[in-house]
Amino acid sequence: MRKSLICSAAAVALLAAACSSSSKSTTTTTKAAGGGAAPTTAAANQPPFDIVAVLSTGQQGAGGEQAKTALAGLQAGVAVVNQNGGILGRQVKLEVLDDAGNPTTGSGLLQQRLQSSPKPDAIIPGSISTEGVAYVPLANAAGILSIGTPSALALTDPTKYPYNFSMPPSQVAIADQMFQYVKQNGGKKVAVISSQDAFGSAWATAAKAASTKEGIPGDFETYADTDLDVTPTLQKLQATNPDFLLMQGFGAPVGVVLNSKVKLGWKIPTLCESTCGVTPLVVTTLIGTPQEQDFKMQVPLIDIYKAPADRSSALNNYLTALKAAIGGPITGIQNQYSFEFDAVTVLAQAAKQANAVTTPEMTKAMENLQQPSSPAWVTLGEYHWSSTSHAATGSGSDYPMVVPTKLVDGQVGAPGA
Amino acid sequence: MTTVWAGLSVGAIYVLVALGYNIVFITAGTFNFANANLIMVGVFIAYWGLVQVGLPVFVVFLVAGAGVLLVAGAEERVAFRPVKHHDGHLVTSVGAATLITGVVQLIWGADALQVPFIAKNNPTSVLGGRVVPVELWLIGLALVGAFGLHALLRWTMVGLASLAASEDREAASLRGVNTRWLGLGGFALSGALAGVIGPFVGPKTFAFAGLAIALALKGFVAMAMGGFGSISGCVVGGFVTGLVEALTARWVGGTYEDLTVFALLLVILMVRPTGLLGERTERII
Repeated sequence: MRKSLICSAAAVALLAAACSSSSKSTTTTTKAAGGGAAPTTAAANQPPFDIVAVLSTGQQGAGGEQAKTALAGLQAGVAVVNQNGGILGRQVKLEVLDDAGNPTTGSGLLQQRLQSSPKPDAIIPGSISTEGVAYVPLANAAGILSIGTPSALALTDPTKYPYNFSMPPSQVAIADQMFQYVKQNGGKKVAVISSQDAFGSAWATAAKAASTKEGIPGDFETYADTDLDVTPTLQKLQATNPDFLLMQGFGAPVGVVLNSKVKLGWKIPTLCESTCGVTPLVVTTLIGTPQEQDFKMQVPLIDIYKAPADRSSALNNYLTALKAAIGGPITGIQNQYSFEFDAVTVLAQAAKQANAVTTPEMTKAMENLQQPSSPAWVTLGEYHWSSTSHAATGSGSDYPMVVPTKLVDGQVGAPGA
Repeated sequence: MTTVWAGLSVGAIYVLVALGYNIVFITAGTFNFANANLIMVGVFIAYWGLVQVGLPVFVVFLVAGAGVLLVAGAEERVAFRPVKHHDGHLVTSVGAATLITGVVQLIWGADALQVPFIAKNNPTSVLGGRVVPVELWLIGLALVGAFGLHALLRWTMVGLASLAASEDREAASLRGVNTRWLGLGGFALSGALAGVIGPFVGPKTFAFAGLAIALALKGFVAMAMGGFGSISGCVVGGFVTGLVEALTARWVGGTYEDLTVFALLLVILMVRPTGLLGERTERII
């Protein structure tokens, strides 16, 4: 009897805990970092500008970590925008729906939120494309502007999703800059190896398009993320006598590819696309090893170190707000946080330009975004979207190649790093 | 030859994973789907001992072997013994695997970690092919481990009791074999093996939470190809899987690796449903 009572009590406690944790909506305060100005009385009387972010912050593992960095970037963006008076005088409020890594859960939470009142003013549809493809259709069906890092090709097509905007440039544009680098450095032929996962496949498609555009032929190969050795695949590529090896990967597979290259004794200039920079292995233990000889990675400008004296005020504001949001030093590479930060600042600029926060007006402004002389965003120098593509285009030279170093303030290339 | 060395070294890892599966299959008559997760724990303990704490090498082996042995023992007591029917072990062992991965992530995080090898690991040429020393160690370990297990099963009383129990647990019990302790011992042995090979597997694979998935699938393929319960089958299945992967990647392309391996498995199982070296058993229906 006593045993069953204890069991029942435990079951009730577990159920209560489960129920409490299944309610995954949290609203963060929008207090300005670094003691920003308090909202004026007029601003305080206005309703807040509601941003609803669906992120997998409760997920264990790499997905959860990525969501947490995205959240920190958003919080920093909200803090800075609020410090500057909010969006058209309205303080920004950030509400987070935790999908725990399951887009089906997130879709339910988002639908529930979209049916409640007041409706959000903008939605952050996850931090990766698999989340974006679940949440963007819901946001668009509700007529609410969505903006974020999910950048699957379909999401950037305004004929399908007229109210969604992708922060990173298209993969074709980024890959094209890599091929331009190859051309500038005398490369006539490349070998390309990429993951078989969704991102890797999309990148390989983009790389093929860039290869054709720049007139540099390439041999393309793939690996599975579960491969423990890719030496035979590299041997196949080596036999084609390329001038450069271009690679894509995230996490352990990057190390596996580089280990296999070292084992082969293949000395070839190697360029890795931007997910390499997000792999801690690349900017920590592999630095200075044979694995990273003749090795460069492609990163957005924000990831390249600037001394405090050379930083713009926007960058300083961002770094201060980000450190406050994280509650400590910045450990990941900057672009993990900064695109989310930029999303909030871009919304503020679009609203200012449209002098409205309604979705149609904001959309028009986004498609013809004026570039301020001192923008508040930090990742790309410029952001442009058009009525035919909602993938951001920057200046065309936003993704240079750099030698990996240890990170200082989330950036590579600091003196002595 | 470089391709062959790559195939053999990856195949050796599959052999070691399959041996772990087989130890439990022979002694407890069931599958421990968390076996690859136990090897992953061994890899992480190797990282902890060699990098984070800087323990002497023999202590790292001791801690890894004992640590994973305890984890495997606990798994048997919590996830296997309370479940009456073997069908349920599929669910409970997958649950144990998920739990182990979660705990590993909580302790060491989600990032891939580099595990140094206990000796110099510079690439070298052997028989005309490029190879790193840890790969030769892995190939040797797989062969020694398989031979050791074969000897244990054939030439010791405990081994013979295990084989008897694997054929008919009830009959073995009636003959005085304590099948419960045998099952626990099998888990402990597979755990100790998983721990001890951690410092060898880690330098080739890195320590990361997704490692178990990479090991589990092909380890199981190796066992199915070679034959459930067959030690020599594990060796053949593991090395064949690794070699087929490597040769396909070299001459056809990385995209077709898995396709070729599973096509081969399908053909083998169609021709020999018990695997290449699995034994047929008669049963009364």
